[in-house]
Amino acid sequence: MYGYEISQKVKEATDGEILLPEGSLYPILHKMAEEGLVKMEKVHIGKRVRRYYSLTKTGTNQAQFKIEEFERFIGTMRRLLLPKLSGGEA
Amino acid sequence: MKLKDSQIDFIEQDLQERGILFNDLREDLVDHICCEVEQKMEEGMTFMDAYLKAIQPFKKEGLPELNEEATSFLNSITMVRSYINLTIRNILKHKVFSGINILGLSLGMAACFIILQYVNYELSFDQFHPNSSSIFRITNNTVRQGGTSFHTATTFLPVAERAKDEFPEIEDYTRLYFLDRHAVVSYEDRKFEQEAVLYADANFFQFFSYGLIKGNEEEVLQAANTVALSESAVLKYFDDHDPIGKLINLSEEFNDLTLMVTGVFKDPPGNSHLKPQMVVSMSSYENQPDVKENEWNWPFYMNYIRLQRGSNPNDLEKKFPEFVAKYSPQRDESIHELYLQPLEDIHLHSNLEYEIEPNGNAKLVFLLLGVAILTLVIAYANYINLSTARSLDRAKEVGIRKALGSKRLGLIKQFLTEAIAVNIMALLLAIVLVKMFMLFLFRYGGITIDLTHYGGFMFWGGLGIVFLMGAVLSSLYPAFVLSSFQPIAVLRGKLNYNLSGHFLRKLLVLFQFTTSISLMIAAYAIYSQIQFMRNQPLGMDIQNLLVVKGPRVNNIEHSGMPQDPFILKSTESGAAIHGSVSSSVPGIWTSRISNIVRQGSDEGKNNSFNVMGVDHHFMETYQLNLLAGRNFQPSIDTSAFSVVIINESAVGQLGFSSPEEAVNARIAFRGRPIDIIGVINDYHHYSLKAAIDPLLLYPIGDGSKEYYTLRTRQSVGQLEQSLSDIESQWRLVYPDNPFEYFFLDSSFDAQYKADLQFERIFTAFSLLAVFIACLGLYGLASFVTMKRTKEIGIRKVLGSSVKAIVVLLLSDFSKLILIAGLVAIPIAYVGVENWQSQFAFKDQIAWWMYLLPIAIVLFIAIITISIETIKVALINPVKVLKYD
Repeated sequence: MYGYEISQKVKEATDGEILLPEGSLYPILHKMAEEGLVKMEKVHIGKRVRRYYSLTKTGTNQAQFKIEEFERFIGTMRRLLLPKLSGGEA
Repeated sequence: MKLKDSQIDFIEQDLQERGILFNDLREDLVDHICCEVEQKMEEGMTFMDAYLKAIQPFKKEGLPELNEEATSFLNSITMVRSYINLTIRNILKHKVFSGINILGLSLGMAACFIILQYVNYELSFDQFHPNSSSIFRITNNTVRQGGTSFHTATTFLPVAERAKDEFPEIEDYTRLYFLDRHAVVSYEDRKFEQEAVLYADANFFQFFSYGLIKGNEEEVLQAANTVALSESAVLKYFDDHDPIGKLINLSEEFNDLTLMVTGVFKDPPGNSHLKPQMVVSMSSYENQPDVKENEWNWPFYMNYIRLQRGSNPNDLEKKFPEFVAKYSPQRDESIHELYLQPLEDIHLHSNLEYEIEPNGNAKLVFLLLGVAILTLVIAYANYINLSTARSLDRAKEVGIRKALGSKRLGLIKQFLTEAIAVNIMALLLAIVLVKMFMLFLFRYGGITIDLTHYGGFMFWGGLGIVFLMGAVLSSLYPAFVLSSFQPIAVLRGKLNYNLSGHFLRKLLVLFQFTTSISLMIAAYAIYSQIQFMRNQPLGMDIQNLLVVKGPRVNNIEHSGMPQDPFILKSTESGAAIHGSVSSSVPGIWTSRISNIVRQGSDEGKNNSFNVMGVDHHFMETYQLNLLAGRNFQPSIDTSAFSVVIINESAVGQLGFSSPEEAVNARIAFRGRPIDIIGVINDYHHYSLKAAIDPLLLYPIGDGSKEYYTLRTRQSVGQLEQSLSDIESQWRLVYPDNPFEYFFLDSSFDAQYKADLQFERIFTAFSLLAVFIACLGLYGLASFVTMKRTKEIGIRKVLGSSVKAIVVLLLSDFSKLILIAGLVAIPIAYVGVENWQSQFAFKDQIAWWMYLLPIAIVLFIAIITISIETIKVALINPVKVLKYD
């Protein structure tokens, strides 16, 4: 996927709830490329250069790990917040 | 809808102007914005409106910042810049500390640098000739029947020539005859004394690369009576005029020649064992009848050969005995052994008879090299010591930075940057110091060094690598120590500083002080030994003795007279009190012979004796004591070697029990009887480095009148008058000879020149080592007192006085120095004993000489430490204690 595509995809998938700010997207992509998590491929379209970003193997592993970490975080938050809520109702 | 190329160009250029300079990012953004614009234009917007809308979100965040953010991940330049910034701030913040650190390091580097240059110079001798490694000098060891040997740097004239015919591995050869006395050279009405004159084979300038400026290498010395001059000789005789084709006159001991100048060569470099000023063609010399006649008798010629690549000089040497047997006629019982000596080894490793110039001392050179390395190690040790001593100071910084997310690697990088910056500054300062001190030091040390030929890529490259490695190695330890602190421990104020680090620091200081105390003891011992030798009674009086070198052109009308007319006239005129003629004077080599035995016995024929021809005024001129027997009497004792006066050592060596017993006894030299007519006291003919040898004095003949000694009047005012009187007498008696004179006391003292040089250099470096060691001690003292600041505060609160605290702190370091002293004494003792073993007369080094340096160092150290401790001891305890 290229940059614009990523931002559109996120926008679509979340029904416009999450808008990736362009100002953060590109620096993050470059940082990830530097760390070897994503790889870049250049495609020349006329005068324009389009860069396609895709996850590398380490990137996929890292993503897996981050997702699990995030799920644990959500789980923790839920355990933290839900009893309180139910307690309030009771 | 697709955008046109011109529109894409516009977007790209606009982004660039708005601060997106980083290419990768710009490509991404261009594509992104293009997509956005295309979509908006499809919704019916114009290009310009769509574009402005598309860049709206970026504008809010700021395009230049975006660029910065994107690049900071990728570009370490920013980080490096920050390291350098912090480094500069840190150095400036602690000016005194950084100053001491840089100064100590640069002094060590500069000292090392200077010595290395000298060592490099000494090692570079004679390497400027191409093929220098395949050039050898043929030396000659004459083994006399008695077994005594006489190894000379020279050999017989035909050796190299015959050897080349015999052995195919010899590629080429050249021979030369070096005039060991000055010659007189005249051009028109100018007359000069010329030193460094030599006769050389025609191929001299092809064989050695002295660099001809004028003339042709092959033809310059081809013809008889031709000469090549050095640039400075040309300047002396001809000013700026072209010398080629001019005629000059050379008169030396045996010859009087008119020579045509056919070439000019560059002044020989200082790092050459052979520094000719005037090269005369060998054909003007070797065709004289007596030279031809004596070609296998006179071993006075330098023979150089060049071997073919890959041939082994040892193999060639093995063939020499057979070669000598084949060509050298057996005239006496002596055996001649030939050896090969590599050209490059001559300067440092050769010490033969008839060397062209006094050679260098390999031992001294390598000793200095050791000192250089030691100095550098001390300086780096000191630097490490001082850097880590600041660890407390920086522990908090490290703690906070780590708490804020710095990684250890980043901190190490930071500290390495600082260390390397300090090293580079020290190196730059060292270069300045070298430039400033080099001339001074070499002048003070009395070493002349020709700097036009030192250096070369290997030298500078090697030195660069050494300093780079030193910088990195000495930086690594502080960097790792400083970056290792645990933030929590540090920020709680409970820094458990590394005990092993403290131990290491103590060890470094111990090492530095051991070194500097040993060096000081040695320096004092050297000084005392040299003073001892110079002040010992010599057994004769050399004050007020003027020595004139004997005439080269001996006037036939003066020969056979009972007393030399010059001496006679000088004493008669009152310019001198006494005067004597001799074949040698104290401080100058005498001949040596063996085969002197008591008549009728064969015992001790291998013992060697110094022999010297003197006249009957010798004893009164030198104020020697006649212990028994009588002096020479010109009317009775002819110049033949048939009567001798001997010294006490000779009495002992010949087996007489007393001087009286020796007198009138008969000895024999190769069967020829000799009568002992008198015995004199032992006097030091050479410096006290050598033992007193047995000596035989015989009545001097006309052929060996080498030196004229005159005892001048004592008062200072008269000296000048006496000197000019004596000179005018000389001109009268020997008009064709230059008046060359020296004072015996200073020429005798000149034998200690090399030792004095050694003493000066050694003293300078021991002082430097003490200074650098004190810097290290200062670092340690400031570290320890800082660590104990709170303890000191509490002690003061509890009633301790400032004095008691300073004493407490001092005692710690004094122990360290005393230990260093105890370690240093045996080291210095062994070193001094070893060094003294070369002298025949040794000074007893008093026991307190070993303790004095320790006391001095202790005193300096106490002052150094006091600067820091008194400061801390005076701090009001409230200031240090209120924060806990």
